[in-house]
Amino acid sequence: MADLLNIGATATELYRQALSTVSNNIANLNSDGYSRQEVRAEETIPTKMGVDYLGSGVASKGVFRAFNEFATSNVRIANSKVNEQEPLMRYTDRLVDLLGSDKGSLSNGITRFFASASNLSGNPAEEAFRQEFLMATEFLASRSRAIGSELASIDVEIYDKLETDFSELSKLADSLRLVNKELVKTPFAGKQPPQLLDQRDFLLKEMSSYASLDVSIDKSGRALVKLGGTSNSMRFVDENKSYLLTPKFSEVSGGPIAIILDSYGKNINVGEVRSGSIGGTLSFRNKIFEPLRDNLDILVNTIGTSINNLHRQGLNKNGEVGLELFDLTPQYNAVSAGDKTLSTAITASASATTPKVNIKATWESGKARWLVTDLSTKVSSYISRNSASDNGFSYNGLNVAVNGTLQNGESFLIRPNLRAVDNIKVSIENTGQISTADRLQIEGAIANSRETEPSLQYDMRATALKEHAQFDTGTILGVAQTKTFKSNTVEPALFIPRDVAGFTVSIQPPIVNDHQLQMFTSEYNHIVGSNTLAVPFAAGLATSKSIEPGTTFINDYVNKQGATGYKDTTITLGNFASGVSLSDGLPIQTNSSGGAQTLIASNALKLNGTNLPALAIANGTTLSAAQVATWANTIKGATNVTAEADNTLTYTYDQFDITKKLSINGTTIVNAGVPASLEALATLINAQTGTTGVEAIVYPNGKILIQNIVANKGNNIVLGNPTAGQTTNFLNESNGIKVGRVKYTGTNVNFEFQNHGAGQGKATDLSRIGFATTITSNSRLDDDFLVYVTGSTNDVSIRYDIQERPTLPQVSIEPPFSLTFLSPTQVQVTDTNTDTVLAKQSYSWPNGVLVNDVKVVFEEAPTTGDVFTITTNEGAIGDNGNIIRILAVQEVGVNGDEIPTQRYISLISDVSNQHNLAEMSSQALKVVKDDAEALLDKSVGVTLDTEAADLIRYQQSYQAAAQIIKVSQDIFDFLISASR
Amino acid sequence: MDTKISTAQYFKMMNDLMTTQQGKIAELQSQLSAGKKNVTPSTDVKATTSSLKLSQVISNQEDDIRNLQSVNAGYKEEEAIMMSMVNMMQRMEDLSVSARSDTYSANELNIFAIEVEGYMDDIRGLANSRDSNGHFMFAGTKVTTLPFVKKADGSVEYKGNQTEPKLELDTGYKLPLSISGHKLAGVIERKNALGVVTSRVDMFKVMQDFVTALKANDKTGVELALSELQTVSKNLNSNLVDNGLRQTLVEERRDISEEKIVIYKGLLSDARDVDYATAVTQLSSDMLALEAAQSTFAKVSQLSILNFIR
Repeated sequence: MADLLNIGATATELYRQALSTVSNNIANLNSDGYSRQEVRAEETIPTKMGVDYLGSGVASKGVFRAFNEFATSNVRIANSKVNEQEPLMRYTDRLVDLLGSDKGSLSNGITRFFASASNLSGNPAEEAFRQEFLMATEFLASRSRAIGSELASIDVEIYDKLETDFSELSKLADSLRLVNKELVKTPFAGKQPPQLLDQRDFLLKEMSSYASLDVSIDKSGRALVKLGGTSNSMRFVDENKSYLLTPKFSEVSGGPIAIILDSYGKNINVGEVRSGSIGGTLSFRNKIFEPLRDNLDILVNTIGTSINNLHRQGLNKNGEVGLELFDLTPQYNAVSAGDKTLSTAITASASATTPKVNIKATWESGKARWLVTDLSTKVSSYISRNSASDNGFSYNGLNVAVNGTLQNGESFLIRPNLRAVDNIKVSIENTGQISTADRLQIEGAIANSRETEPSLQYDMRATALKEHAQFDTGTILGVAQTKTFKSNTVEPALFIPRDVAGFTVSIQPPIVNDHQLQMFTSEYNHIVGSNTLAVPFAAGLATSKSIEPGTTFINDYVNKQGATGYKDTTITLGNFASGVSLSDGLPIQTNSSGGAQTLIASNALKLNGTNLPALAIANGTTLSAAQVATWANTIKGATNVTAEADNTLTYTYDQFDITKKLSINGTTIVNAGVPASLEALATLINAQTGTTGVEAIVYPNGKILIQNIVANKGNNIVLGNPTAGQTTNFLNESNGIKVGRVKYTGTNVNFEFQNHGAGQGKATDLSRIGFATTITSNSRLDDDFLVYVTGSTNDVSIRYDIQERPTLPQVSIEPPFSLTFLSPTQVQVTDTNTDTVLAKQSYSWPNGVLVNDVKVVFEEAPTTGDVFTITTNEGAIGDNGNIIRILAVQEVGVNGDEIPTQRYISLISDVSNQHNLAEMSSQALKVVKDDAEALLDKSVGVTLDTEAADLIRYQQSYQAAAQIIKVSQDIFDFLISASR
Repeated sequence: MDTKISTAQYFKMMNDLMTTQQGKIAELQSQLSAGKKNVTPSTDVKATTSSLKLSQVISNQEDDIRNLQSVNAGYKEEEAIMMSMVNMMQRMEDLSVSARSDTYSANELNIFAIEVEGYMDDIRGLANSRDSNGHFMFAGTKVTTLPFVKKADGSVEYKGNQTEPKLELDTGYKLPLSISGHKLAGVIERKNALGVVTSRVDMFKVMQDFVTALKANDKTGVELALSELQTVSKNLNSNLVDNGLRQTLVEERRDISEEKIVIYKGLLSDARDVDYATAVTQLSSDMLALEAAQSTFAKVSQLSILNFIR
């Protein structure tokens, strides 16, 4: 009987628990993450009664929590994926809204710009249209900057969102750590309090919305979490600890974002984050946002540069050329490198040609200098401040100015804003600077037989024909060189490029050779050389590839200077000097002809414009410096040049060959007794001065000078060796005549030729008196020059010095020129200012005539006698040539042959396609997530109806169990009453 | 999908369906009230991109029309001036016809000379006309330079240039915006008795020589002047013909542009504007669906076993 009571008691106990559990389920119907609990019953151990086993009731196995690990992790995965699409959709919408508005779009700005340019082309002189154009230009630039700044603020938003999301994720991770700590107290997951497990799963689900997670549950039920796809070493929720995950942004704008685990400790870069809202944001930034910004930059940069290139070519109302319409110079900005805000204003600026630098600058007040680190090369250097009053500095063309006081150790990041979208500004300031006009105009002469509608094209310069020359001097400028070249060649020895500041080219041929310098422009115009070219050379020249094809030989300007010269220029030929001119030692010229010999013909050479007489020597004599000096001095009165001959031989003792003897001017000086010192030698020489006319002086610096006595100044000195058969002498010189040199003094010492072209005066004439023949140009010329050497077939040594080109403006107005048609197939180009014929080109219509940068084309073929003059277009305010060219940019393909506005629209379409993709993915993934949640819910969710049914069931069971107790009570009472 | 579903899940599902439907209705509403499919650019990107493209094309055409209108105005001004010149030329030709006969005396010829001088001054004045902006019409592109300057000896020198600014209508086709003074004054070949061209002169020189011939009672000169004046008239008339052709061309282009605008505006409307019939129908059907969802939810959610547990 007592068993009956016991059984009843256990039953009521059990059913009471069950009812509580069911009530708990009903109460927690709406609790987040609540899993359904149920009580499980098991039979207690039966008692043995003889051979029978009698049951002893029921006991609770425990309160079990419903769970489905598979479904739970599925829900987490689906959750991550759905949340990934959300930022993609939201931000792409933002972008389309920003870029696609009718009024605010960049394509609207571009359209407006070209529309105003079109209006301006119809009315180029009208101030109202110019004003409208200027405003449309400003509108385009400011629209671009406005879009850029909106994009920049989206960028900042992305940063903020990432920081916030990571911070939330880290907070949840920390809560998970606390849960783990509680879980560790019970070693078996099955025995864990269900509330803890529910909380753990709930936290994990929340975390999964931020990023995809890899979760492993250990036997205590602790969750160990790492970002999906990373290695175990990168767990951010460990057995005992949780670690911070932080985003780290690049110092370079637009650079990659790194995800750092435990930045204050392990500091590992975990790589990428997949799915979740963080993954979606990162994916948006890297795959959609940054490429869009780059593409917009390319678009703006291309439009701006194309327009600038054309605008530069044109002429504006103020008569200026070369101005740009847009300013695309990168702007530099300075931000504080630390967390503090800038205490002082730093501004940085650079010119357009400065290479882009990314630097970090730290101020050291003690040494008044900056520690500058170049962030791209990681190289550091110290730069001093500009001056005591100016704490700014310069680095690689970047100028940094400081506005305020600096703290010691303050650091700044100075970075260029590379985005054209942000940098574009209008470069001109007023309507007068708009280059609407072409810079040149063309007019046909009234006498032309008919109207041929000529027009001009710009920027057409052909490549220089320099690869055929033996040497292109354009490769080394500013350095004097001497090289050996072949003579009488078809291709020139030297190619001198146009626009150099000046040049000298000289030869000093030995007198046995007879070389002449010939210089041409690349258009076959003979500037310096022979009046008549040797037939074989001329024939070869006609085939030269260095001469512009189709040009005809012009020799109207050979050797002419001044007003009759080529372009009135002062290219000189001869040997020019001022003050003092010192010749080389004269070459040995001995007359053994039998009679007097004329070395230099009369009037062949001129000195300072005055003819020099013939230079002749008697039979059996050798030309001496003294003779030359005398010869030059014969015209001293007219030239104001004084010539002084000198023949001094200088030696140090160690140069001597003491095994040999010496004779001077036939007189033995050194015989048997070897002079032991310079003084001894001097004594020997001076002993014979009366005979030789040669004296010796010893200088304290260890040199001996052997020279003629004053009366014989400049005479030749004959060195010899009395010992027969020996060719050298004591002085270690070959036996023979030593000729001196001549020094000329005067304000100018200019040797020129009488008529070099006709051979009256040649290079060897100057060589005879120890001078080189030089072509000199001191001014910048607009032609390519070709230098040949003709005459003797021996190779010739040329010394040349080409001055560097001066910095030239990018565009300048060409000097006026005219075209005269000598026949329908030949046109003559004349430089109007100097009346010089520049070239005679062959012509065939409808080809154009190319003159430097400009091509002249004709609608109808010109005929013989037609003359066209090309002059500057200044004053032609009604000219619209250049603005029409600028209009054409509207139709020029950008990056894949889409015109600018179309390209912009394509970029928007691309973004919207991404949006649609994300939206479709989102819808599909939502279905997957709903399915996963339904599956999970099937196992763990609470259904009111089920609970209500359970409630009734357990209630009935409880009532039945209570009835057992009553029955046992009744039996007991009956027993007691029966035994009284 | 399995049959078992938790209460919370059930409510969530129903809620999702209803709110989605409400969202659709709200979007339709905003489209209807704005009259545009793309209330914000992101709402209907196709409409946005079409709108951007077509607006640009429409604005180009409108600009073309404005341009062509102002160009045409310029042509009309030129035409008026050249017509006046033609009339005066006619009068001078008549004078030369009369002068070459023997009817008139030297004195009378002198009076003719004065009349011709007057015409020469008038024509020069006309050639120096300015447009409404104060720029010279027949100076080529040198619109601020007085084109025809009378010198001390009575001759007239052209100080403008020969460049005629052009407007590019289509790729390659350039429409001259104005006639240069060079074209206006013409290039007339002066031949000698043998028919050989000795020089080329412009209309002012022709007129000046006519005056000289009249004053000197030079019949040969007058005879020459007659033929040359006829050539001058021919030149002016040919310029007028060019001018007329240009005006026709410009008007044709304008008409084409206006037609294009109508077409493009239609396309733009198709792309961007809401078709009210479709939208309202859609709205009605969506609202019906929402009503159904709401009423079924209200009924079904009331069913619960707990209602029956007493």
